[in-house]
Amino acid sequence: MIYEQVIINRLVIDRPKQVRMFQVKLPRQTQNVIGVETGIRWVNGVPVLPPPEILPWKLPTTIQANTYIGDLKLQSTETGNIFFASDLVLNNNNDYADFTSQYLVPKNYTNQFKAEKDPVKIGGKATVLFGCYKDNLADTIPTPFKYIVSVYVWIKLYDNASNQKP
Amino acid sequence: MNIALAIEYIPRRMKDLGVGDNYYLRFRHFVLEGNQTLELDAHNQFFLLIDDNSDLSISSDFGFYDITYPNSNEQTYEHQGLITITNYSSTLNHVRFIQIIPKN
Repeated sequence: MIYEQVIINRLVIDRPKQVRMFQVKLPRQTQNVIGVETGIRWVNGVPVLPPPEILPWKLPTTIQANTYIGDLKLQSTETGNIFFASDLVLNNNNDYADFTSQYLVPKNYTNQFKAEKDPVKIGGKATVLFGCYKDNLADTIPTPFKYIVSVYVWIKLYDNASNQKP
Repeated sequence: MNIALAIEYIPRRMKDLGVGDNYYLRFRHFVLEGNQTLELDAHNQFFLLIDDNSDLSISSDFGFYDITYPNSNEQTYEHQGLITITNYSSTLNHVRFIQIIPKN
């Protein structure tokens, strides 16, 4: 039987311009890496967005610049080499033209776009992937911060018991 | 990394990447002026740093090398893609690589 699994790696980023190299270990039964998904969670630090204005509410119709958090790359030991590169960006326009935002201001953790994996197809013979995350938030926020980057690696693997490995 | 290790490492790494024996090697020795930043376009190529240097920062598409940088948990000697080399020293500095150029 072939089934899918997701491997989650968490990287704690708490220093400015931090460079974090890491490895994603894959099970030995892995056939392919089929997708990668990223996520971010704030732990502490000065909020990225400015504090809400104490002004009469009006429909947000101006586009704000999104916040560039950092970039993530994944590399396979095999022929795939660098197969995934992604910018982590905080969307600052969740409430754009949203008339309900007067009472419930959309945040990234409530109204983030639908998260979907980015499809890739990389062989799983080498049971480890290499990752490199570089923080760029320090360019925007000079004060201390801490956040967690989650890397979800989707794999397709064989069930060992069924002996279906070609 | 020293030259002996690099020579041992390159054939195995190229085999892993599917290049096999189909590659050229060049020895590159760059001379950087004080505080100079050098950019190398190394897409489809590999640059292997073969000696340590505490006055340099090397950043590439997949890797980072700066011995004096406290916010990095690992140093990378294999670089590819756009490579940026910064000389922190105000005087002349040298950096040596082995350039690996896969054949088409």
